[in-house]
Amino acid sequence: MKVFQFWQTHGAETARLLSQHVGLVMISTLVAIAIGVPVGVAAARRPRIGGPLAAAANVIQTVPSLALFGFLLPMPLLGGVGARTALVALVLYALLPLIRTTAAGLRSIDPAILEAADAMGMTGRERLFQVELPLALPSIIAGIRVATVFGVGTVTIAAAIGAGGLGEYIYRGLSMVDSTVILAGAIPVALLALLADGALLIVERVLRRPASARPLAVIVAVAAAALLIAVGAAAAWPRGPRIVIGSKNFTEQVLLGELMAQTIERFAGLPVDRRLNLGGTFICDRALRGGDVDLYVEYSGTALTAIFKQPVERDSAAVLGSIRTAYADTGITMLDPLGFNNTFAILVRGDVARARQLTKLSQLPAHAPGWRAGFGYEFIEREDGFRGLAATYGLTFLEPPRVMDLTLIYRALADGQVDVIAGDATAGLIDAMHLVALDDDRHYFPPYDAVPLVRTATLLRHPEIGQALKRLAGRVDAAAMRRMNFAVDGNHRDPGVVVREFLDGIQK
Amino acid sequence: MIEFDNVSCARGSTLVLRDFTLGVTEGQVVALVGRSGAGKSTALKLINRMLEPDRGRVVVDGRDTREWDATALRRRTGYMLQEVGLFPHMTVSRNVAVVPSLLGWDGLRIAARTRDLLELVGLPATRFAGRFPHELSGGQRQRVGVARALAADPPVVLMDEPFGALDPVTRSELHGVVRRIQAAVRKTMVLVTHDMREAFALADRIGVLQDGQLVACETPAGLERSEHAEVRALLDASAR
Repeated sequence: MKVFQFWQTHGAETARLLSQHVGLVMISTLVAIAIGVPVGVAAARRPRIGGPLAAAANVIQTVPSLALFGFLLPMPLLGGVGARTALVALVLYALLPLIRTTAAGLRSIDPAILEAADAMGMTGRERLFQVELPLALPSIIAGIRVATVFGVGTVTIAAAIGAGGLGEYIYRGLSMVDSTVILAGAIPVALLALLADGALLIVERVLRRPASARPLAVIVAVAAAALLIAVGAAAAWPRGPRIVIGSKNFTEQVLLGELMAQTIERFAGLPVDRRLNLGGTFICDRALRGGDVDLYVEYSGTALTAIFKQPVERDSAAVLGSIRTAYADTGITMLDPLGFNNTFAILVRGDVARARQLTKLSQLPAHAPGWRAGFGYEFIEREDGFRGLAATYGLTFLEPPRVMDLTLIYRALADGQVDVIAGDATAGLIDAMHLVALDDDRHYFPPYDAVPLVRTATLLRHPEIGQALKRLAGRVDAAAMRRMNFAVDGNHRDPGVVVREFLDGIQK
Repeated sequence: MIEFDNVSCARGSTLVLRDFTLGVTEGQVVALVGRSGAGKSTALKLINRMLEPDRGRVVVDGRDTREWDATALRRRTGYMLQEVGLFPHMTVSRNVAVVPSLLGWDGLRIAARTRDLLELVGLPATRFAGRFPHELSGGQRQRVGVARALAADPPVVLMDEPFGALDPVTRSELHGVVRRIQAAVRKTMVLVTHDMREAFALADRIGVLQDGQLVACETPAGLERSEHAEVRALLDASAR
C-alpha cells in the first residue's frame, strides 16, 4: 500500500521514468527491426553472408547486460553515460531474435507459393515485399515480441549508466534499502513486460489466422504502437543544451546531485538534466571526463587515492591542493568544499558521552578497556582503519572488535550490544539513534571533504554556474548532511523536497 | 508461337530433356504427357524462362527466351501449377489481380477484369471476391488459379498438372471451364499431365515424353493408333 502512496507523491517523476522506459524500448526495438529484418532476409537467402551475422548476434546475446554496458562505456561514439549507450546495447540484444525469426519465417514459406510468385513475373523485390514478408510477418512479430520483453528488462539495468527509466527506482531503492521504492520501479516494469508480451501476442495470433477481420486489428495495433513511440520518444529525446548533473548511487550522493541541480536551477536559471544514481566512482569520473556529465560531487580523499592513485594523506588542505591541481590538468575545475567531511566517525551512545563528558577520541583510551567495539569488515582491513586508529590513540578494548554488517551496526550500538562503533560521519542514523561522534583530534582519518567538480569548459560557457554554487561553499555541515540523509533514509521523504527545504533554509 | 529447337536441359547432374523439338502454333492447345520424371515440367518452365536450355534454343514469339527479359516474358505468360500456389494472405480477387497490378493497370480496369474472370470460372464475384484461399474447396482454388493465369490476358498459358489432385467430377467440370474459355478467347496453351484422358479432353495435339525425349507427337486420333510401347502403356493406364 505504501507503494501507492509513493506513486501519488511522485506522480510526475514516475510518469517521466515510465515514458523514458517505454521510449528506450520502442526506439531500440525499431532500430533493431530496421537492422535485424534485412539481415534476417540475407540470412535466409544467402546463408554465407547471413550466417556469420546471425552467429555474431548469437554471441552478443550471451554477454550479460552489465558487462556489455561496461564494455560500451569507454567506446567513442557508441559509448558514454546515458541513453545512447543503453540504446546501442538494447539494439544489439534485440538483433538475434529478429534475425532468427525473420529467417525462419522466410524459410517456412511453401515453395509452391514462391514458384507461383516467380512465374507471375514478380521481380525479387516485388516477391519479397508482396509475398515473402507478409507471410513471414507473424514469425517476425514473434521475434519483435521476444526482443521487446527482453528490452523492458534490460532497460532496468541501463539505469546504472544513467539511461533513466524505471530502473532508477530499483537502484534508488536498493541503495536506500527501501523495498517500497524498489517495488515502485519493479511493479511497473513487470506490468510493462506483461503488457508488451500480451499485446504483441494478440497481434501475432491475429496475423497467423488469415481472417477478414485482420486489417482492423493490425491498424489498431500499429496505431497504439505509434502512439506509445511518440510519447516515449518525446520523453526520451534530449532537448536543447542542458547542464547534466551526475551522482553516485547512494542516498547522500543523490541528495548532493539534487542540491547541485536545484541550486543551478534556482540561482543560475539554467535547465538541468539529472543523471543521478550513476553507479560508482569510476563511472562518474569517466562520465565527467568524457563530457557526458558536466558536474558531480566527489570526496577529496576518494579523488586522491581512487582516481589519482596517490598514497593516503591526512592533511585536509594538502589533499584539496593536490587534487585541485590534478583536476585542473584534465580540464576539470574543483569548486570550494561544501563544508562537511564524510569520513569515518567513531560513535558512542549520547547518554554515555554526556555522563562521562566524552567529546574527543583522545579521551577514549580511558574508557576503552571496559568497552566492546563493533566494526565493519572493511574498517578492520583498511589501511586507514582500525589498526592505525588503535596505534594512534593507544586503544585496547575488553575483547577483540566484533565484525558486523554496516546496516546493523548502528542498531547494535543503540541497543547496547557494543559500546563503540565506526560509522559514517554523515549517516542519518547518528541523530536518529541519539549517537555522538567523537572528534578525531589527532587527525588520524584522511579527509573526505565533499567538493563539486565541474567541467572547466562548462564553467567558461556558463560562469553563472560558478556564481550559483559559490553560495553553497561551507554551508553544508555534517549535521545538515546527516539531517538530509535521515530525512530520506529514515523518514522515506523525497530527496527533491528535502533539498528544497534545505535551500530555503540557507537562503534566509 | 512457341518453338523448341533441339533443346537439352540438365537439372543437377541428370539430363532431363534430350534433343527436344516441338512447335506450338498460335491458338493451339498442346498437351505433354508422360510418367513422373519424363521431363514434362522442365519443358514447360523453359517457355517462360523459369529455366534455360543447356543446348538448343526455345523461341517464343520469334525471340529466343534468353533474349527476353524474364520478368516481361513471365507477365505475358499465364501460369498455373498443381499446388495452385495461391497467396494465402490475399483475397481471391487480389490473387487474381496480381499480374495486372504488376503491369500497372488502373484500379477500375483491374476490378472489372477480376469480376469478369471470376464469373468465367464459375465463382460469382459477389460471393467469392473477398474470401481467402483457405476458405475455398480444392476445386474452387483451382478455378481461382485458372482465373489468375488468364488475368492479364496473356497470349500464352502454361498449365502444370493443373487438375491432378481433384476428384473426377470436379476435374471434368474444370475441363469444361477450360474448353469454354478456349472457345471464347483462343489462347496458345501448353498443358502438362500424366493423365491421358485429360490430354484427350483438352488438347489439339499431344506430345508423349519418355526419359526426356519426345517419342510421339500426334493429334488425339493419331495417337490412339500409335504402336509405340510407351504410348500404349499410358493409354492402357488411363483406360482402366
